[in-house]
Amino acid sequence: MNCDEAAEFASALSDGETIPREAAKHVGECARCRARLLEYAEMGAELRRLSSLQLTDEEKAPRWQKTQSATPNLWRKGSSTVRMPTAAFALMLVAIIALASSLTIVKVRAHSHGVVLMLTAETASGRTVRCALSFDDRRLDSCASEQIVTGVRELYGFRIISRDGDRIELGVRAKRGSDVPSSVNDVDQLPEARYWFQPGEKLRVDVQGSGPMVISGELLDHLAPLLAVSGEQLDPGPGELRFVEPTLLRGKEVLHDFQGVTVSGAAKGGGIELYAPHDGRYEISLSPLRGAAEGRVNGSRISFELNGWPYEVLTGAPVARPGRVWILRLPNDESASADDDRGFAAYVPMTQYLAKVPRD
Amino acid sequence: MPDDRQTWERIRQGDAQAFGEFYRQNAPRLEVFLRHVVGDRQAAEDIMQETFAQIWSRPNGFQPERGALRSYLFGIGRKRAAEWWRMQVPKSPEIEDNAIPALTETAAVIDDAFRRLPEEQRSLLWLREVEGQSYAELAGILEVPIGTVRSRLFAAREALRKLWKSPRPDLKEGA
Repeated sequence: MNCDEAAEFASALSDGETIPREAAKHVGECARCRARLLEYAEMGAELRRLSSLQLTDEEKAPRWQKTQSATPNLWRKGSSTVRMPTAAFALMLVAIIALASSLTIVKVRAHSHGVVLMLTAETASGRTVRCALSFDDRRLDSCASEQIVTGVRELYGFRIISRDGDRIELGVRAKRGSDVPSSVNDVDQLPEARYWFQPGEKLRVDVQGSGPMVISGELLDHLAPLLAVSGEQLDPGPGELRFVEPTLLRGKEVLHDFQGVTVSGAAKGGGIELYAPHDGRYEISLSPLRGAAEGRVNGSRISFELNGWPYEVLTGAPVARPGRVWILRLPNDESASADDDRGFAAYVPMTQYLAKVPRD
Repeated sequence: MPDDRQTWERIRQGDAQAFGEFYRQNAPRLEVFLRHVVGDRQAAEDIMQETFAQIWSRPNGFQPERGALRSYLFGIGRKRAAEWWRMQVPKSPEIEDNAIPALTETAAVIDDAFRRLPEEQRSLLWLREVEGQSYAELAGILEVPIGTVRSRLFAAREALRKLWKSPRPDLKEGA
């Protein structure tokens, strides 16, 4: 063995590793290699000395406490992933809130000390915003909602700040008008007002650009899913697609279990999007979509085939009235985070995917 | 003292006190590491804070069987630093001069040489020599086989040694 061959082993030696006998013998006998070993040791010591000089006792104020909860992050992810106009994206927020609830259900069940505030806000424009805010899971302690009412944008944000017994300190951001930020992602741009709120009572909050909003709420011992379903009939309405706690399977593999998620819609040109983390988005429509597979609806089950794989969506209630749906799979691209395991389901516009259907 | 599993479980459950303790124990060292990787004090502090914020808001991905919690933290920090580098406008790799008092001549020369190493080599050497990360932990952080860690460490040491032993071309005697 020569010095060049032994050099890497000298480096390993300086890391406290054992090395092959032949290399050890050479390093022990070769003055050049021993000098190199000493140089490595000296470099390490100087780097550690450098670090010691730079470490100070000064404690930087942590910023992590100001971190946004995951609910807005989910919206942010959704808005960047779904690629649709902001106004259209706003339509699916309620469904996303429902999804966030589902994520917490698992957690609350696993940790029974979890308590949830189910908040309802009646806006001056007659809309209802519902949020499930968790005391137990900081990722779900805030929510936001954007609505367009008679052509004017309304933006609402709520978060739990603290709790004192039954009293809850609530942060509220609310505004209506043409200068309202164009996305729920920007809800933090609105000034926040703080209120002490007691579940069971009504809190009246002034909203800039609008009349007062009335907030009520109740404490729950678990996070119940929010239903984005119109009406209470089990049978879907005409043109309605309804997914109640769907599970997406490829063959026998569960791609994602959307536990607790209920999403529904009947708008013209709309459809349901299921986002399965680590896999991709599935656009499901009652109208033919370009490049989509045709699926068969059988009660609460949709069966279809993609790339030779049998797929099924199983749901807790009938999906749709007609017997056919179209499913377009949009696989994840490289930007999808490998360690993000949150899925979502939403009713979204699908006009960009609709195939031209010849008239009968 | 709680072990990594206990600390992680408390962090996952949103225990701000546990996370605060984790922050206090590791933030200064992470910041110094990042300062050497990105060469910019403010960026290093920002990345350090973002790293903790990421773990706090999305506590997932740590697997105790794959290494220590501190390795996981430094791995995230290192990735964020690499992203920061990618976003920089191409320019000279020269990094800011953070005057450090009480450096011996040898230390000053090594410090200068260290600054001139590529980002990846700086990260690797610092994590090994200063933070004492094992080969297995470095393999996890860099997402490479252990054998590759050994060869890259050797390459980094050699690069540093050569820079240390050869005079810097832009520094003239008496300048």
